[in-house]
Amino acid sequence: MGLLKRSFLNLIRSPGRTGAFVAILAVSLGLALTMYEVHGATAGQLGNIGAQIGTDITVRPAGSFGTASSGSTLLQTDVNKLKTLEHVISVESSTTTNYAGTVLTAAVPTSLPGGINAQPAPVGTTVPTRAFTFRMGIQVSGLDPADATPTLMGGGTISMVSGTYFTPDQSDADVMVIGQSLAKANNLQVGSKVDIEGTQVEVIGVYSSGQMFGDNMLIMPISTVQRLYNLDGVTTAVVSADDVSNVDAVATEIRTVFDANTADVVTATDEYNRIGSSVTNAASSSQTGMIVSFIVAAAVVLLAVLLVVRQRVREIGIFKAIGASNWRIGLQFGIETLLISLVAAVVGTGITFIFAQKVADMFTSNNSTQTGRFPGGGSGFGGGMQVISGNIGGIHVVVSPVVLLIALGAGVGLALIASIVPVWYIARVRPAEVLRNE
Amino acid sequence: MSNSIVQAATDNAPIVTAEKLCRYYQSADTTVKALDGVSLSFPRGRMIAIKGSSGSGKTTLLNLIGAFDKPSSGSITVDGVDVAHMHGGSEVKYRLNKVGFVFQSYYLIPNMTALENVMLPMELSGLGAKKREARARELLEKVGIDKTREARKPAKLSGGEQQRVAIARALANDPPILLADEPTGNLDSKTGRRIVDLLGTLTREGKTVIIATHSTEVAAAADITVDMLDGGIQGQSQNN
Ligand SMILES: Nc1ncnc2c1ncn2[C@@H]1O[C@H](COP(=O)(O)OP(=O)(O)OP(=O)(O)O)[C@@H](O)[C@H]1O
Ligand SMILES: [Mg+2]
Repeated sequence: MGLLKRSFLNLIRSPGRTGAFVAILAVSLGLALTMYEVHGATAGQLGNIGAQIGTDITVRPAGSFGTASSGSTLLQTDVNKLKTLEHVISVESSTTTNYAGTVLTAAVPTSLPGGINAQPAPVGTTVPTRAFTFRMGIQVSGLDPADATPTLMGGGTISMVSGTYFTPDQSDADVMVIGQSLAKANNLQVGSKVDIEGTQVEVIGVYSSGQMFGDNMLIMPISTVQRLYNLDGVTTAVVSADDVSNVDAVATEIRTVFDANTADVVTATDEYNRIGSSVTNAASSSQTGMIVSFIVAAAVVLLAVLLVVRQRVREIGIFKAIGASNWRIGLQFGIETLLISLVAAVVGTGITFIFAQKVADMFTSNNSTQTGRFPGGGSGFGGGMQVISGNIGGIHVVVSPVVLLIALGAGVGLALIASIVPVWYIARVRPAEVLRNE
Repeated sequence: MSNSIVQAATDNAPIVTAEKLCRYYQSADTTVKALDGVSLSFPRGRMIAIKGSSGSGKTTLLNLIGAFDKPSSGSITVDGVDVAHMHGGSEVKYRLNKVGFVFQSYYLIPNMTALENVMLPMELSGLGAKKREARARELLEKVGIDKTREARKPAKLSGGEQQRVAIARALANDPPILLADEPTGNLDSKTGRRIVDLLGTLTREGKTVIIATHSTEVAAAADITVDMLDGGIQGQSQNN
C-alpha cells in the first residue's frame, strides 16, 4: 500500500530523529510496562498471602514469633481446648525443635548465597545447649499423623520419594521421614536407623519438598518428638476458623485460653498487614510509577508528533494545495506515529523482560531483613508464617509474552491519542500561509 | 467587462469573475490591504498574465482563485463555483479537480520521485494505480521529462526540470485552470521562455492559464495582461 510505504520512507528519511523518538518512547513504555508487571505481581502476591493464611490463626509460645523456637511450649491440654471453641474447624498442632545430635550432618551449607545467615541453635531448656554456634540446624518437626498430606503453609507440599509417610497407627512409634537432601548427605535410606536423643529411630520414608530448607528436616509423629525431646506440649497450633469474618472473634476466644504472657496469637489479618506492607508498598509505588511512565510516554508521543508536524508544515501545505483532505494527511502522520509506537512497544517489551525483576527487587529491598528470613530455619512446617515471609522477601515477577500484546495495544492507543495533534493542526493550515516564496 | 451577458454556450462565459474582492491582513495596529475591491472577469481558454510590482497583490489574487485562502469580503466565482463560501469536502474537490498550481519554488514532495509526484493528485482522486502510472508517464513525456529522469527525486533534477514535473503534476487531474505564480522566477531566461511556451500550448487544449509575473517578456507571451498596483487592477489589455 502506497500510504504505508510512504510513511516508512518518511521515517527513514530522518533516521536520527526517528531513532531518538523510538528510543525515548521505548524507555517510557518499557518503564510503564515494568511497573505494570511489578504491580500485577504484587497484587498476585497479596492474593496468595490472603489465600494461604486466609482463616488461619497461629498460636505460638510467647516471644517465639519470628525467631527460632524459644524452647517453651504450649500445654497440650490448653491446645485441646481450642478445638472446642466456636467457629473453629480444625487445630493443627506441631512441635518443632532443632536436631542437637552429632550423628547427622546438615544438607544445607552453612554459608548460603544471597546473604542469608544460618540461624543460631536455640537456647533451650530441654535441648542440650549448642547455643549461638552458627551452623545450619537440622529441623525436627513433629506433626499430627492424622494429616497424611502435610503442607507447608507457604504452599510447599512434600511428596514421598521412597518409603511411606507415617500413619495414625504409628502416632507414638520411633519412626521418621526425612528430606531427600538430608538423606543423601547422611547416606540414609528407608530402613536406616538413626540415634535421636538416645533412641534408635527408623527412617520409613524419604520425601522431597522442592525447597532447600524443607529438605533439611526430620518429620516424626508429634508424640514421638514430644517424648524423645522431653517436650510437653506443642510449639505451634494453627487454628482454622470457619470463615474470614469470624477470625477476629476466634482470636479473641483464643486469647482467653492463652494470656499474652503465654502465647502469641497471630491472625491472618495481623500477618497480612505485617508481611503485606512491603508488598503493598511495592504495589502502590509501582502503580504510581506505571501511571507516571505512561503519562511520560504519552507526552513524548504528543511532543514528537507536534514537532514533526510543525517541521513538515510545508509538505502539509503542498498536500492540501493539490487536493488532499485533512483526513488523508492526518492518516499519513497517524501511520507514521503508529509505526514509531509499534517499534517502541517491541523494544519496550524487551526492556520489561530485562528490568521487571530488578525493579521489583528494588521496591522490596528495604524490607528484606525482616521478610528475607529463610523458611524452616526455626520452626519448619509449624512456622508457616516464616515460610510465607521467605516467599515474598523478593516479589517474583514472571513476565509473560502477553506483555508484548499489552505493549502493542498501548502503542496503538498512544498513536491514536497522538494523532489528535496533527488532525487539529492540519485542519488549521491554509496553503496560502505556508507556501509563500521565501 | 461589466456588461458581460450570460450566454447559453458556457464556453463563452468567463471562467473567473470577481466582484469587489478584498483581502485584508490584520496585524497589531495596521491593516494591509493586499487586495482592495478588485472586480474582474477572465475568459476561458486563454493565457492571462497578472503583472505588477512586488507587493501589488498578485499572489494574493492567485491564492483566492485557487482556494488556498479566503477573501475578507467580495465574491469570486470560478467555473461556476462560489469559491469564497466553500468548505471541507467541496474545497478539497475543487483543489483536486478545478485548478492546478505551479509555484515559483516548484514545491515537489522531496522524498518522492518525479513519477510519484505526478501520480499523487491522481492517487488522491482515487484513480487506479495502473492508470495513474500510465497517465503520469504520458504527462512527463508531454512536458519534456524523459524516462531516465522519471525515477529521480526532485533534488536530482535541475530547476527547469523540476518546474516541468510541477506542471505535469498540475495537469494530472486535467483541471480547466492552471495557476502559475512566478513560474520562471528561479530559472534563467532561456529555460523560462521554454516553460512559458509549454504553458502557452496548454491553452490550445482549452485550458485557462493564469500567470503572475514581474516579467514583461512573460506578459508579452500571454493573450491578456492584467496590471496590478497596490491591491487594485490598473487595467486589462488584450495582446496581439
Ligand atoms: N500573511 C500576510 N500577512 C500580512 N501581510 C501580507 C501577508 N501576505 C501578503 N501580505 C501583504 O499583502 C501584500 C500583497 O502581497 P502579495 O504576496 O500578493 O504580493 P505580490 O504581488 O505577489 O508580490 P511579489 O511580486 O513580491 O510576489 C503585500 O504588501 C504583502 O506584504
Ligand atoms: Mg507573489
